[in-house]
Amino acid sequence: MPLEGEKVYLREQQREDIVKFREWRNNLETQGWSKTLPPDYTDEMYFKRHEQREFSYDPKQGLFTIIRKTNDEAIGLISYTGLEPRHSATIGIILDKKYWGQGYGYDAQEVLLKFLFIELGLQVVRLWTHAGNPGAVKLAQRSGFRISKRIREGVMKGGKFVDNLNMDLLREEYFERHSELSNNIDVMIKDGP
Amino acid sequence: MMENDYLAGKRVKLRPIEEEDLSLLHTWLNHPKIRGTIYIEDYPPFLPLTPKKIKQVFEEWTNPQKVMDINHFMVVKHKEDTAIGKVTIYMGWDPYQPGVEILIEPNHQRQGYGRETLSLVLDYLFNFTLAHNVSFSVVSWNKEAMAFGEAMVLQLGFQKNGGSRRIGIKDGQWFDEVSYDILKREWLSKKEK
Repeated sequence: MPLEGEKVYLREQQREDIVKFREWRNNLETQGWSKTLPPDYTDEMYFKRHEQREFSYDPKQGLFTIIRKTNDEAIGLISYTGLEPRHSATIGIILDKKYWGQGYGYDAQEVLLKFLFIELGLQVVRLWTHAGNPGAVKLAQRSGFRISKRIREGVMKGGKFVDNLNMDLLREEYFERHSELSNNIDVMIKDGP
Repeated sequence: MMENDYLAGKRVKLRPIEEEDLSLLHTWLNHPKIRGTIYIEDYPPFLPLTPKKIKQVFEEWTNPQKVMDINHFMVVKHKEDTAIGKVTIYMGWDPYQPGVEILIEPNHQRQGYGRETLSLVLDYLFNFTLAHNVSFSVVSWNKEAMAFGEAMVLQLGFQKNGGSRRIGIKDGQWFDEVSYDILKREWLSKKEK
């Protein structure tokens, strides 16, 4: 199991996970995205989307289900999208509310980041969130992400304007936090002024 | 003077892109000072655009089916009726936070045309759409654009709000995005003074 952490492992999204995806997507708290989606998604919509995925050697995204190790329960989903090979990708995470605040999200995020930096050789990983979701900001900061861009009052959440936040984590910042891993990519590119 | 006077200022006006603009846009887009500063999908940012790609870009920019999401205008000097630049409004999924991209051709840079263009766009977005925050971003290697950004802080009341790191490579170095935004109430109070 290559995508394994301490408390969870990540595996491909399977048809059997879909009922839970629909539940999380239709829960305004767990969908957590800056664009509020109507909580009216059906299992059929998800099945259809699932079946439309095609085999590719050049995928721009990876979609995983987060499995709790102790009971093999699907407890969330985590993904990267917009892959620019060897350069960057954007991650996203949804976690079942009953597992919030117990380190599952962090563990899943660390497993995905290791894959992105070690196996895909990325230089920077990004994510979008907003200031109305302090849990998500904290989770990202725990893995070393910092807020790189703040579009003030850019989105409305819970009836209030909140800042839209772009966060990112550079390759060497990741390796600074992981002394057990070595950064073997030295492409001699420095940050400009 | 102009029937659509909300898109017209003292020295410049904005008008839709027309067939005759193709050769001018071709020249600008391949100009060494502009190359890599304008977002072109699926093309290496620092290579000259081929005639076929330029034609494709032009077709996209003038595609009437996309105007609800993206608006492209030529910036035209009233006096000589000559085009000196191009401006793009990205409405995105949330009309609260549109983005703007401005191109002023090199011979007309640093003469206040960019500021006048941006003012026209702000007047349009804050008075004719639901915009709450308008942002634009520049790349950190582009000295002219960086100076423009700082000038817009002083002159129009924008705020610097960070930027994604390591968005690309130029001259052997990573460069970042530098982003600026302004809120509707800030723009309105600026206009009152």
